[in-house]
Amino acid sequence: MNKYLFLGMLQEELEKKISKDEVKDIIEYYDNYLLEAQDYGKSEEEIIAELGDVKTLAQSILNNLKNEEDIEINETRTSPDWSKTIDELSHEFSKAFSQIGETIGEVSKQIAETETFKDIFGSEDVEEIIDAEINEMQSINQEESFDLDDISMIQVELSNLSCHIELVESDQLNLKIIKKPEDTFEVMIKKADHRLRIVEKKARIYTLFGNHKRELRIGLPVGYKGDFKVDCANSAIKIEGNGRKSACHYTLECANGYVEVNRAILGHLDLDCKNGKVKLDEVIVYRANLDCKNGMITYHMLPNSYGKVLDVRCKNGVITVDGVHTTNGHYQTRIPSRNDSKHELSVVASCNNGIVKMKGFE
Amino acid sequence: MDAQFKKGILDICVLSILEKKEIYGYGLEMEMASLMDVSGNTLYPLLRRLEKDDYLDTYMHVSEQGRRRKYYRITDKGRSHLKELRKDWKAFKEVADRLIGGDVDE
Repeated sequence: MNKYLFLGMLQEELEKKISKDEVKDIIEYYDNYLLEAQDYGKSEEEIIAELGDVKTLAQSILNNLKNEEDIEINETRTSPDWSKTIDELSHEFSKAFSQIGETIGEVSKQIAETETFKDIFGSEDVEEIIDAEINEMQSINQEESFDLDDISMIQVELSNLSCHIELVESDQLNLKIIKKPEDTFEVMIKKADHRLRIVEKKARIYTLFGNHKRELRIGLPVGYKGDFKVDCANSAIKIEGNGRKSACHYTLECANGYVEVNRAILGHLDLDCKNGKVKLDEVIVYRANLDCKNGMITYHMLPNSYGKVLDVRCKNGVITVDGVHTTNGHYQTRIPSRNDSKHELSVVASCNNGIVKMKGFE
Repeated sequence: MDAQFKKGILDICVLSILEKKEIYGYGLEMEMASLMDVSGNTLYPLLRRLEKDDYLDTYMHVSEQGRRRKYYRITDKGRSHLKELRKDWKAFKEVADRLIGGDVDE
């Protein structure tokens, strides 16, 4: 069992008996507890195994709470609505993952060198190259633009560093790089142990650091139509669509992490978030392949959405798709969307040993 | 071990450890587990109560590796409380030693 399922089940058990506010504190404690145990060389799975059966653990926490504080325990509270539970968990995990910096896994895999790669960490003389890059960056003022016609693919590889992508309008086909002068690249780069790799040498992307919240921030113009690949293991990827449409092909990999897409209309999304959590909120994706083995996917489609292909795989995990209805753990059909009979929604949701919840369609 | 008795001892143990160093939840459990039987469900309610009673407070610390940890530290009120608990413990121990050690007239 992974952390997300463990915490989700613990939350569900506790909410049968005590208020959500009380549960929130407990879940936060055990979320921290699982991270802290890693300092002692224990894996997530080991520590979850040590904590034992979730129901027994929940009952014993409740007994201890009652013993300590005479807390009110409601023996007749009913089981919570899963969709609500997931929403709340999503909020918790979003908060947790926004405070990225937890080194919990392997360093990002190496990608073969090619001439079109500009790898500022790939050289043997890493520090010198980093310094050179930093010096170059210092000369950038608030923004710098690059001609998107020269860029067919942007590839970012990060480890333990979150990536925040914002869709921005742009009259010209330019990639906008946003810089905040107060950020200290040098400290962040050396401490973060991350990799940043950009295909096509003209597309420089750099990182921000401040208030213990490390992230790579990218303003992506809606006119960009190439590939956009982000590998952000052990961290978080967030796409803020601002209600805009983006035609590029997204490939997001975020093992052990968290991916969130808000208010966006995307062309093609391939997403792999093993052992992590995915939340798509008010999103239309024309072709989505979501793989979240051992994790959780929550997908709230935009109303009146149309013409989509949705392939969701979440082995041992939990899928919630708001807009589609199914009653079992494997769903494969083609059904018309609600408001446009010309288009069909193709859904393949495979969730072996997990839970699929889809609602909104008959 | 009686639950109430253990509860009192746990208060002293936790506050004594925190008097020496600031530490996060799992670390605290490991320190205590090396001396007594403490499981993963014991400390949360205890820490929560001690925090509510203002005997300890918490803060977030980010290590050089970027790891965020929630640390617990003893407050001045906690130190005073620990001092009282130690007095009580000492008095209790003296009586218990005399009783268990057979020093009491039968």
